[in-house]
Amino acid sequence: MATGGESEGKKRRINADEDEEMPEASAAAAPRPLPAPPSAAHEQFSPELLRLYYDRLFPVVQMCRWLSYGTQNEEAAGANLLHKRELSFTTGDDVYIRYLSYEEPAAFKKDLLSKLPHKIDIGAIFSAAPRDHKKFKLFEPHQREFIIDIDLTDYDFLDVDVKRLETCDRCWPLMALASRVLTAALREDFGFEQLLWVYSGRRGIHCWVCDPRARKMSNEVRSAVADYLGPQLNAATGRLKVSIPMHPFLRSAYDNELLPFFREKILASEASGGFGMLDVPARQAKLLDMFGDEELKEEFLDLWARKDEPGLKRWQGLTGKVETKFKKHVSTIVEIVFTYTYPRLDVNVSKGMNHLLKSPWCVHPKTGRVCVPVEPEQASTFDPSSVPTLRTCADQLDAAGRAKEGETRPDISRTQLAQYEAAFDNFLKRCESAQRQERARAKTSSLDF
Amino acid sequence: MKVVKREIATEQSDAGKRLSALSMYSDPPDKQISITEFEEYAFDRLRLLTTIETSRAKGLKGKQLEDVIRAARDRFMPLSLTGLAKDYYSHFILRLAYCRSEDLRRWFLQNEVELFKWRFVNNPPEELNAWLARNGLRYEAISREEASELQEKLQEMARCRAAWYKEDAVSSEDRREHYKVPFEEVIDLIRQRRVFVRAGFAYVPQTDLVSIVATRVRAHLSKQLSMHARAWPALREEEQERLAGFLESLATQYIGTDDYSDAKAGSKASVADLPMLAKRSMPLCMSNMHTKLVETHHLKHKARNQFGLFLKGIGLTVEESYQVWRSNFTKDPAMNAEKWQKEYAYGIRYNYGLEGKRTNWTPHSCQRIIMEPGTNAASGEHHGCPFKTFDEVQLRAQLQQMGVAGTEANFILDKARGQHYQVACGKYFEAKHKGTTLIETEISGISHPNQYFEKSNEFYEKQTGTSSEIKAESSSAVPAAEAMATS
Repeated sequence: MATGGESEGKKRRINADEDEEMPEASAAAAPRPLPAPPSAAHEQFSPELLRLYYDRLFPVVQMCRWLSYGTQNEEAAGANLLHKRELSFTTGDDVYIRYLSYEEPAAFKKDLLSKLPHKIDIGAIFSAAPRDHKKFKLFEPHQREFIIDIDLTDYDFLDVDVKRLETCDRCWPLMALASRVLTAALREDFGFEQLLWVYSGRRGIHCWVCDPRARKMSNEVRSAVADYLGPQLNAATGRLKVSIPMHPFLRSAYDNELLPFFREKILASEASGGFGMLDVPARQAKLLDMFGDEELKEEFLDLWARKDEPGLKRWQGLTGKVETKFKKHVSTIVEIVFTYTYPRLDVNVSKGMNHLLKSPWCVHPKTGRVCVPVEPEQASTFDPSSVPTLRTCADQLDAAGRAKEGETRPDISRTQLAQYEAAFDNFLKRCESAQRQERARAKTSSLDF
Repeated sequence: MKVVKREIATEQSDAGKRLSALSMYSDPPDKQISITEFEEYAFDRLRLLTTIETSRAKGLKGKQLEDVIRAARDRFMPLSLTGLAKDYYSHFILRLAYCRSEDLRRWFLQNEVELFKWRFVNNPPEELNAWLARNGLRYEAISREEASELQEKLQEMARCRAAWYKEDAVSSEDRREHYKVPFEEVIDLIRQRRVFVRAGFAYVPQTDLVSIVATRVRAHLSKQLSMHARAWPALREEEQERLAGFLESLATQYIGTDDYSDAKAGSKASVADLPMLAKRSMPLCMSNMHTKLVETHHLKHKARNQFGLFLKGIGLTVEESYQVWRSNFTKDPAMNAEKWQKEYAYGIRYNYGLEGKRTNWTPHSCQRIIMEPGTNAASGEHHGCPFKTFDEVQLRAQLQQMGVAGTEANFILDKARGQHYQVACGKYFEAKHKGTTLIETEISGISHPNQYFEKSNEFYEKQTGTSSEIKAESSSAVPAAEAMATS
């Protein structure tokens, strides 16, 4: 969905100059159950804190550097990609403002402070500056990062309460796994290098694939890549559909990531940090249902009720029996492992150029947490509960401000956000060095003529 | 494929270069050829494409289809210098003949692309690389080094593909060459995860490369055809005296080797036998028109033309034709012999070359009957090919009436649905002539209503062992009342 799966039902929408329809994206924003905000979150988030954040912490310069992709110094204003990028704000009273665009960080910052958006979305790079879109007959998206949106609510086997922040945090390993699996595919298979993974602030993760080749993909190509990355869920069986023998990409994901994760996390008890999927009868039944075989289901429910065993042992018993007695279900085993581990992409977000996605460095209004970049290599050790909230940032700023009067260091470096800013900066440097190489290549090849 | 390796002295004097007809046909010919060559070339390509069409219609695939195409290629467009020239010219001639309507363009495109695909997969890989490069298609077969480096992955992929396509191992083994293409160019393969992808490149096996290239070729040719279509009216004007007529009739031309303008000596039908023959030996189109003639005492112009020429082709003299038409038409109270003579006799005499241009007109071929537009039974039009013009319910009922049902009827309906009318007709023949194998043989389908008729006669001759004179069999004898009145 357009707004990163965090949309809370119906909103009033306003375009930068009103009356234009939202793109197809918004229709998909079906109302999700409204999460009851934990009372603590209110203290983590307030308009005053937000003003402080946009004024002193939000890395507006880096954001503009990112969205310019090295075109900041182009002579023609139209060549600067930042100018043609759509941004949209959701304000505190749920008004949605589309087709905003800025030419430089100061203007962006000024608007942030005046509108105090609770949410910032990033759209496509258009043929003209979005804020002027009414002036042009031809106004269409030209470029857009390939984006991936993964949200815990799409993991339908989870019977945990995803409305509670602690339980979401406990499920983080699934997000870390998703980022590892997809990073491998995006890098090795498609050759994409400039991946920006961002924690969505509550229960999901986003990926921005920023390579020029990715940005230039047509909707058809995006759609094909999204399908390549995401096996379909078969509604009849409740399993992800995987043809056997597996495609090399799925096979290596299965061997290297999915199966180990399934055994070490999905089957492990909750006490040992796992998901305990074979520990309680309701979950056992859910897994066994995927075989679509009553005889098998009864047999194992009965067996597991009589004997207390670790999940992994039960699984081994089950697969052993399938291989001897229920041979027709052998390939089902593979699909079950996929179903419990493989990243659940919201493919609709990935398929269209014109989808909006929540910006990095946004603050999640329900949790107060900042949407910080996450390096996939560090994803496994990333702890969402340690992500700074507006409140902690403000406190740190206060403390640092008092202690080190007169220093000129940027405010963000006095907070816990510093490490995430450094990660973002590293990402920007990688992008920019690739851009320099690309330009050098273009120059030499043009000299060949 | 059997590669003819021959030294030839071309302009570039590529000594030792193999002959290949693989072409995008980008540049039209600018040399002169004689009208005779022009026509001969056109016919031969039409025969080649028709063979491809009917083989595909029969559902031939893989090796079988390749063998048929090879045989037809060897016969009509042999891999020799003259064969290549013929291929080159004939392609452009047929473009002109087939650019004029959507139907014609589709037919031509489909079979040309099929021919291209056959040539493509039967070319040695090293030549394909050069060919692809010449045509600006950047697909390079991967080097041996890269192939061995990726061997494990590619083999793994091959196993997936074999399972997916239910390919036999041998045919996938045959064409192990892989091409490296930007993944954006093979999005269908990407979408279905049917190709190995590494660092932004898809490693497409030769079996799939052909479909990518064929897509390009089809697009190119399709564009060319619509350009020709726009240019045609002017060209037609210019060639009014010379080639326009030939080109316009080419698509509906009967290209069988037999001539059905006149009845074969000896197999001459008689008026009295017509009702029996209609049931026994006429193709569905003709028996249908015969039924309508008897029932309604009338047929409209196009049907009179089609059925009339058919009757001429099975041996009815002009007097006998008079007799058939007049006796039926005058059963209509609004018609009398005098009126009939005034309004309809001319048309019959015309068909026999006794009026107007005084041409001995030939019976229409299947191609022509099928291409004839606008048959509309509701408005009393009964010409055309029933396998094309009848809807499914109507066709099934008609088949039933002629004693064809069950799996045979299903097969026929299936072919009709797939627009393979001549194969449908071939099956209809088989169903009506038990023990014959028409569509499995070289001719594969019916290409001419009179061919159907003669095949049928041959069948009954063999069966009865009697003379070639057509005799009414007792089994299919018709009540005298139904027999046509003789005047």
